[in-house]
Amino acid sequence: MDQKHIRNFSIIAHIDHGKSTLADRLLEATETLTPKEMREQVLDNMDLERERGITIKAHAVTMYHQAGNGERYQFNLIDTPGHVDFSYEVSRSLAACEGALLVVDAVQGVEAQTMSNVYLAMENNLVLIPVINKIDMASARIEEVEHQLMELLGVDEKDILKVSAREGIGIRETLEAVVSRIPCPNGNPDAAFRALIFDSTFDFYRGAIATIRVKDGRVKTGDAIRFLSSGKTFETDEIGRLKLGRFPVDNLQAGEVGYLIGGVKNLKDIKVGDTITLAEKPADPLPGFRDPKPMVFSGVFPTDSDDLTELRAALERLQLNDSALIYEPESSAALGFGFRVGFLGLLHMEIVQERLEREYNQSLITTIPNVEYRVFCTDGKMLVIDNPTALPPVMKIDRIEEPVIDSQIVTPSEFVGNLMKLAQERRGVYKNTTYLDSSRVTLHYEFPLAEIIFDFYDKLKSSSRGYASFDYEFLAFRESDLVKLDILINGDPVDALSMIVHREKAWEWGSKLTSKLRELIPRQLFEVAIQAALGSKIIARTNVKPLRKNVTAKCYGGDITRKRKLLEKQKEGKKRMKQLGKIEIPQEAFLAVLKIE
Amino acid sequence: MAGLYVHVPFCLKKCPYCDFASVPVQSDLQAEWLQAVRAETVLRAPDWKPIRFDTLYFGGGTPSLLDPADVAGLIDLFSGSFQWARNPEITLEANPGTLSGSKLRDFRKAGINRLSIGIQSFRDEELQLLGRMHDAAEAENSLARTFESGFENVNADFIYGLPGQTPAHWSQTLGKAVAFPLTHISAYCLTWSGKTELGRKIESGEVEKPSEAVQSDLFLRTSSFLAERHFQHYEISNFSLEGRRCRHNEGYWKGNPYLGLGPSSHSFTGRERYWNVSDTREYCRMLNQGLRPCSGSETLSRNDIRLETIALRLRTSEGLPLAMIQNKTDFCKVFLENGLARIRGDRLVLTENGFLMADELALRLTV
Repeated sequence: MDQKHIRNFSIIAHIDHGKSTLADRLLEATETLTPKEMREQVLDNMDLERERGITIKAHAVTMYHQAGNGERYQFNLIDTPGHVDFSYEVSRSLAACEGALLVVDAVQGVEAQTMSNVYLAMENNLVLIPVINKIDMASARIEEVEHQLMELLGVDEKDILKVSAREGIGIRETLEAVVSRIPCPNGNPDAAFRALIFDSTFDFYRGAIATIRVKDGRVKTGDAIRFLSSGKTFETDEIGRLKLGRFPVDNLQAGEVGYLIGGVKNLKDIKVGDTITLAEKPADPLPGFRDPKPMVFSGVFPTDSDDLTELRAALERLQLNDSALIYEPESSAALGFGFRVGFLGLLHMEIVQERLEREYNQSLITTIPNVEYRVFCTDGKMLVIDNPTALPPVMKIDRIEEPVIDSQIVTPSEFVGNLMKLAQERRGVYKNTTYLDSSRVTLHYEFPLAEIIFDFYDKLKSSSRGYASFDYEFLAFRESDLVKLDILINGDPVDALSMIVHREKAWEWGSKLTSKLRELIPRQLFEVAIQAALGSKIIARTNVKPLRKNVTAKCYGGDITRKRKLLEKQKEGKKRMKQLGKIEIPQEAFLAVLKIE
Repeated sequence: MAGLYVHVPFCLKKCPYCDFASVPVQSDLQAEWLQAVRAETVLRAPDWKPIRFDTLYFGGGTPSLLDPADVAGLIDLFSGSFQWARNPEITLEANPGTLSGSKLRDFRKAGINRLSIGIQSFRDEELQLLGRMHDAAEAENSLARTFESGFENVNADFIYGLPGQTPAHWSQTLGKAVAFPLTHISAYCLTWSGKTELGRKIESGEVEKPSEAVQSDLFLRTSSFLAERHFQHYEISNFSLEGRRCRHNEGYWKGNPYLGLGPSSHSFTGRERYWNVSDTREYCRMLNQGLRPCSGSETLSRNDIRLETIALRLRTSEGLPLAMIQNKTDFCKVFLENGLARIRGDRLVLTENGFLMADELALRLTV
């Protein structure tokens, strides 16, 4: 199809503003899927995505629209993840488009992710079509939200579409706006082939599969292609368009979106953001490629050390599907052999953990997550540390730098006081305040990343009755007065419980962590001392009293079966305990910090 | 050797702490029950013919509510239906209010040679809390009549660790107990479930919840008090004079076979365990139709048997052969270091403090 009849666009929205439902309506209205194929939120095909109501991986789908002007258009809808952890994937998806529908909930209004998505879209020079969704809701504040959008985007009221995706209101108008307002692709169909990889998946039969946007030229089956970042060449086995499944075609040309299979065994060879060219006619790379960078690290250990091989295999397979996941072997005195895993953020970490447990049936111990630190040693060397146990002795450290983020909190103005208090507790540095309208405010803050990877979202929500939203991006590494807090159990340091904290917070963390551990560590056959220490200095201490009595009074003929069954049940519970020397510690204890109030 | 158990499900009234199968006594149902137990005996006898029994135990419920003539009739039927060792132990459980002098003599004549009496306490307010029909005076009188009527091998059951009970209260009961020539004492630390009346009172806070510390203290006081009076602590809740252990109950803990007759009773062949329906009318109805009154069964794997053996042997003063727990030396060391067990010969035997933790220790040895 010639480029004039192609429209490539995304839907961007804050979480729960109805992006997936709108996508469903567009698929229905263009008859892209048969009614049988049509399930709610069809683009989210991972179980976890459906349960959490978020789109984890980007997806693309091609549909055809018979427009009011009588002509037929090819629409390529590129779905994007809504969560900040996946902002790199969002930005790659946007780079494959010429425009985007910016969906804003008529009740909630503009949120932090709406704004960061707008900024991302602007960086990619996209044309934005503002859409107010959920206009059927009784509590919809259409006029207010219009004003917010006019303020944010500098658009006229008449440019804003009013939609209810749930009720199917305004869908036709939306499709027409895509035709009339989003520019067609302007690649050169006669130039050398260049395509952007904006997503990748792994198929056990076909290998790694790239989802691509062709910028210039064309590619056909059998072409030898090259991935510019690695320089590796492959032969194209199959190319095609994506609907709910894969539909092979002979070629894809400038402006089109589709998939490419080239016998690539390893997902690592298909890097999101990379450029594909023909092997014999390499062209300049498209701008913007970088490896996704993990921000949060945590140790992942098998509960039973015999399961290490299985865990490794599970991580390998998971990585085929999730190229942002990185890991390397780690060994802990307390937990034995496992892996140090890097995640894009805390949500990514939870998702990986859940997928390992659910899809790969692993029983895991995950340790306290931390960020990456730059440690400048007295001998002039700089170490990058993603594990508290790797911190050199204090006298060898000149200074430590931690990652700092630039963030925006969007909130109704009545919660500004609460949120500023929270920001202060989290070592936030206030930058400025801007007003979205008379009642909604954006607070700009810089935070140490370490301060927001724990329960920051929960706290943000509870400080604002659920109304505030938050988004951030990495800013810089900055020097900070950081120390290593160790936990000792019966006098022995437990490396897996160490953490790096700001000196001023060490005492508070020490006492909270020890009392949380006292709740989580069950009573043993003897007294257990739990201490927190900075170097050799003990800063908090508590005890778990020994068990005194646990015995059944009567055990005769009819009681024996019951007794054995109870033992069997309790044995299962015991297996989930980690034996540290003579002490049994439940898995949850290693994540105790996350539960601290 | 095997044990024969007969469950007598009748009580004058249900006690508020009891979660055994029992129904208020009704004479027509009692007659039906007797017929049904006789029928069950006939039904089971062929399978148990090759096995030699050496104990018979009438448990309940309140077996002392039975007519001694009916008990005599059952004993006659059992002696003709099964093989018996010489001098079998024949126990009957009794409640104080049901024991007149003549009834006691008739039970003795019927062949009962061991009596187990549910005294529970010699303090009136504790007996009231437990909802017992008798008071302290009646408890003492019934014991006196028991010995007068010629019984020599007598157990008394007690419950301690009650809401509000002090060590002094418990010493008073124990002191009165040992004033009688009892050969055996069973002392049960109170446990409660939300399903019983007393359990609900404790959980709702209506009565004071007995603390773990006080219950543990009373447990230790009991065994040292009784040890001074030559009672051996041979199982967690059981004490006896030399040679006067309850052979029937020892059979359970040694893993010997047992046959249970009557509603809700359990039987064990050494590999298979099965249990009867617990509803008395249903039990009678099934036997009336010539059906086995079985409501469930299980076949024990080697591992099941291992688990049971460990759990049960740890509860006794014989302890557990070390050979059974060779791969658990780390745990054993922790037990020994913390005074919870000791090694005697080639066996691991729990100390008094270890008995208090028997369930916890069994778990560690079976994981």
